[in-house]
Amino acid sequence: MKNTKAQKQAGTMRRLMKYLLPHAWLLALAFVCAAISSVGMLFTPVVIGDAVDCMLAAGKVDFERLTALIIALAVIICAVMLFQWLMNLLAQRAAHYAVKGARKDGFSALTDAPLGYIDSHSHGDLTARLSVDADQIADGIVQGATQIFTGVVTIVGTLVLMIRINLWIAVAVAALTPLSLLVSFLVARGSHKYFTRQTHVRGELYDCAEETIKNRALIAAYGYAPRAQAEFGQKNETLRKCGFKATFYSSLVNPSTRLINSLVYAVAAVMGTVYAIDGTVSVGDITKLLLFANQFARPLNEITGVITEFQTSLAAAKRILDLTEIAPQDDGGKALVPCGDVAIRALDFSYVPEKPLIQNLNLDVPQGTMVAIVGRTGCGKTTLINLLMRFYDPTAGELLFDGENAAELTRSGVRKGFGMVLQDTWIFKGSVRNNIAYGKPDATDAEVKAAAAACEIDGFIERMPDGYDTIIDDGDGISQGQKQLINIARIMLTDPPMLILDEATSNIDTRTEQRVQSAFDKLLRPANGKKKTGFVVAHRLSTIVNADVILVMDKGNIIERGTHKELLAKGGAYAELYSAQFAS
Amino acid sequence: MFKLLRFIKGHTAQAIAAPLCKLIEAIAELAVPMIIAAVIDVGIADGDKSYVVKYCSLIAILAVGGFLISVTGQYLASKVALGFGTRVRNAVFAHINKLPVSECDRIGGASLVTRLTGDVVNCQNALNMTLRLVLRIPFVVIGAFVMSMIIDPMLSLMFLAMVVVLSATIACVLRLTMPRVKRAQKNLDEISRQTSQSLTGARVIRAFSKQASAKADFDAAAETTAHTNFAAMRISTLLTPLTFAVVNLAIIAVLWFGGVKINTDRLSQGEVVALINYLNQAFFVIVNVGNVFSVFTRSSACAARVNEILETPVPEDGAITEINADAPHVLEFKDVSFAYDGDYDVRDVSFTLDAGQTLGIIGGTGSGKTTLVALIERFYTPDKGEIYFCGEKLSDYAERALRGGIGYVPQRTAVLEGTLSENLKIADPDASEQRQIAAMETAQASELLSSLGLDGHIFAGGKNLSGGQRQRVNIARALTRDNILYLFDDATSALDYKTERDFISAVNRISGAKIFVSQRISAVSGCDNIIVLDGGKIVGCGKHAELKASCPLYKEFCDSQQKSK
Repeated sequence: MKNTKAQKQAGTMRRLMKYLLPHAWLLALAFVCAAISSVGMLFTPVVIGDAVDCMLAAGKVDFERLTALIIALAVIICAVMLFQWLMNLLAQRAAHYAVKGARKDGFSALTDAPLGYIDSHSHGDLTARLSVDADQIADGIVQGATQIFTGVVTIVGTLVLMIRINLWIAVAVAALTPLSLLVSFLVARGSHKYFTRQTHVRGELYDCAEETIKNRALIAAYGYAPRAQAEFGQKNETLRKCGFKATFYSSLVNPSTRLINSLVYAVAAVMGTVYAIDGTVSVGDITKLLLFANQFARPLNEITGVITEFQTSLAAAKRILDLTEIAPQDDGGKALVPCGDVAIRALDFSYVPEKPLIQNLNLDVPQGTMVAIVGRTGCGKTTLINLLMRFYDPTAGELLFDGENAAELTRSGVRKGFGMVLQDTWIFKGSVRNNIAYGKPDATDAEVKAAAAACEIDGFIERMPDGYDTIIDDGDGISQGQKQLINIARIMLTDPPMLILDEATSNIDTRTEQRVQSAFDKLLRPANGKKKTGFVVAHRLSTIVNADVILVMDKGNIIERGTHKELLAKGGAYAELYSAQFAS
Repeated sequence: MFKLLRFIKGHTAQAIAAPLCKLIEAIAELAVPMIIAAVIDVGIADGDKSYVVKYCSLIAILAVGGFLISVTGQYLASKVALGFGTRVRNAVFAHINKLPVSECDRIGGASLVTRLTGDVVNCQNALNMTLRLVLRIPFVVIGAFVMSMIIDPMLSLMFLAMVVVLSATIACVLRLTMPRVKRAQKNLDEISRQTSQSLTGARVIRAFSKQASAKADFDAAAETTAHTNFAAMRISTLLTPLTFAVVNLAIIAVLWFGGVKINTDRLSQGEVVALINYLNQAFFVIVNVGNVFSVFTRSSACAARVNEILETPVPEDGAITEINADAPHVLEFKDVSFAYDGDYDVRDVSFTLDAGQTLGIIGGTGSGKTTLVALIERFYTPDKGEIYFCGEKLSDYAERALRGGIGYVPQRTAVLEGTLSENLKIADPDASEQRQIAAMETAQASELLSSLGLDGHIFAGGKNLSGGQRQRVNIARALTRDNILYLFDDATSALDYKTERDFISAVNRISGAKIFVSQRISAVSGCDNIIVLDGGKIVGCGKHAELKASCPLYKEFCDSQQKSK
């Protein structure tokens, strides 16, 4: 168990190297600077101790040597200062540019990822990986690496210098100080379970708070507040109890390590002075030893924290690196833009293997046909659209465009043949013009305006503060209906041979819907062009009565197909749906 | 933050004792360099080993004593901080529940949650840190300064200079770093925004094969972020080297002037060592100031946000606790107008609903339907006009009594995590099992009832239910108790037309006045009276057949929904 965790961490580190290697020379220089500044720091107590030794008593101060030592100290300080700064600069530069690389690859992989991946992962979580988690790499790993390196240099160096003064004192300090490590390890292990419990209880409390606040109106309407308060108060009390334990136990680390350090300090002082009385060490040496004892302890005191942060950062790094390894969808080689003939042969599809959805679907759609798909939620309407757009691939069977197997065509080619409008509109942050010209960036102003006019949104756009240059985004400011009209104008501009309209009007009110509907009619049946192939999923049946063929779907299968009249006459599922909708 | 300190009450003694413990510990720590000085100047000079051992054991004793006292301090501080946090959370939660829905909407649900959770924890941590750490800083700095004064007043000036320069250095670096960190943060937000945008637009981006341009935009943002992050670091990484330099410069000064003084017998060697030790002690404490400062800036912002909730006034409640169920008019609107801000969202609305009657309200999105419902539930108060419920002014009722008479089905379905039965019992904790089953049946949810069962678990947010199922649970909840008035706010939008029709005929067999709000003709066409809303105003009022003839907007609705008949 422990081993696999270590292996995983090593694996993450190896993958991370790919992004750190381009900046390897920066990191190497950073380590050189770290070594220089650590050694400089080591020698500061030595020089200070020697300086103290120059001032034995009244009249016995060696000013010449003192001056030399003070100058040496000043030089060391400047060097330490400079190299410490350089070390940080180099390490940070390497870190932030390595993070940039990881971010770039992560985003790129997400953009090429199969939609199945995006649909099945929380967007908030994916976003966090690229933003907050990525920053953790810089904060934790690179900083941690330099800190651990300096720590090791300091410990080894201090030990050597202490041995040079007095072997036995060095042995005593080196043997006793790691006790603090042991103590903090024990405390951490003890408080770990309280922390886990605290995290858990806190999560429960937050869920309770969020649920109450989100359903505020409901709670007010039914006088549920006292009951909610009782539940919250109880959870809050549990949090107080386990939160106290977690806080208190973890706060024992500092006093405990301080205690060990002070005891070591006392031992060093006793031994030092006793040896001084025997004449083997000087007063300056004692000063050095005491400063060394502190210096030796510091990295050991900090190491638990550094290692914890290093591990958290590795975990965060793993989350972003995992993104870079999402396998992109395989793609056919033939870049064909279909003209409008669609056929489906013995097609099977399921999102999860255990739950078959579409089974043995067959369908022929000649160019220019308008196909309407109706049925209850979950019947497979949107799935069919996902397959046509090649967002998902069939489990078995094939999809033919102009007689060619879709699997052998490039996805981008197939998609170029379609204009798609979904229930969920999408506006990106940018000018209205860029939003409309999304599929045709080189469109002229006149073309953009014509597309807007065809959707009857031109008047609204011109009334906006900067007209077509107004920056919009997915937030407030423009209504759902207006957003949808901009989405449709996008399609107007690219004018593809096939159209997909998936519940495109169900989020807008009925009056705007009529404008949207007439825009669709213009697209599907242009006054002076050839008819387009259309796939229309609609909730309101009134919008599809003119379709060439209506497919009624249920549980992934087509249970009825025919024109509006045929299906009404048949008196089956469609007739039932229709009469339910227009019963008065 | 100070305003919140009243929540320490009950832990006052502990809150005073905790820093006292830290003070005693600091004094114990400050004694150490003096003892070392004595050991050097007396013990070594006289060659007295027992003196040395005696004094060094004193250091050990002080260390153990300091440890015990410090642990006591930590214990007390943790007690105070957690008690404080728990009380603040309870108070904020209770206050949120008392606030009018309008105020909650103004602050926003997500913001309320962060304030109640993250912000309070930040305040709690800041208090804990103040008790444990922050008060220690002045103790040690002042203590070390006093000690150095005792040793040598002249050299203690060096000490003072060091403290001043050190503080100034930290302040400068922080000041320069702050705006750069903010800029970096803004860039990070841009990274989040672009990622989230490309995830929501995943289908459209692929449909137009625009992956390359999305990547290019993101790469530019990532490059800027790397650049601004590094720019922020360039300054902030100066902090450690600079503070290191300042303290060592002070040591150089002590060494030089100490040497001069020792030479003229005005200072001893041990005392110089002690001075250097005090400089170091003060230094290790002061470098924490930057940390403390950033924790304090953050927590004071958090405290302000928490206080904003606690200081939002709770409006006075009405006095009427009994509803006159026999009143002829259940609901009466008299020239009611209301605006969220700026333009009126409901304008001069007047109508009457009699006992046992049904009223349909129809209109497009943004026509003011849901606002009207919110006024009836008294989530919001009208700016003009008056609403009467069972003969009395709406505002004269005690909230609990008023809402106890209304079965409200919100537009946005609300289910709590728990069993189906628990969800239904929100309306009436004493509702019998038969009652719950009957309510589910009327709500056309028998299928759900048999598959889930009354004790079946509903996940948070109703994630294991479909939209239509959630709506039916919401309807059933309102039907779990008897109400004088039922408010169905677009309650059937996710149901198919057949289910909707079955529900309406079933619910009409239940006594009580009913209001059906919808965009669909089918949901309102059977009502005794129908109001057509447009831009917050009533543009038509009457029965289905009348409106079809007299109200152009209503006719438009009919046409668009029934075109081909």
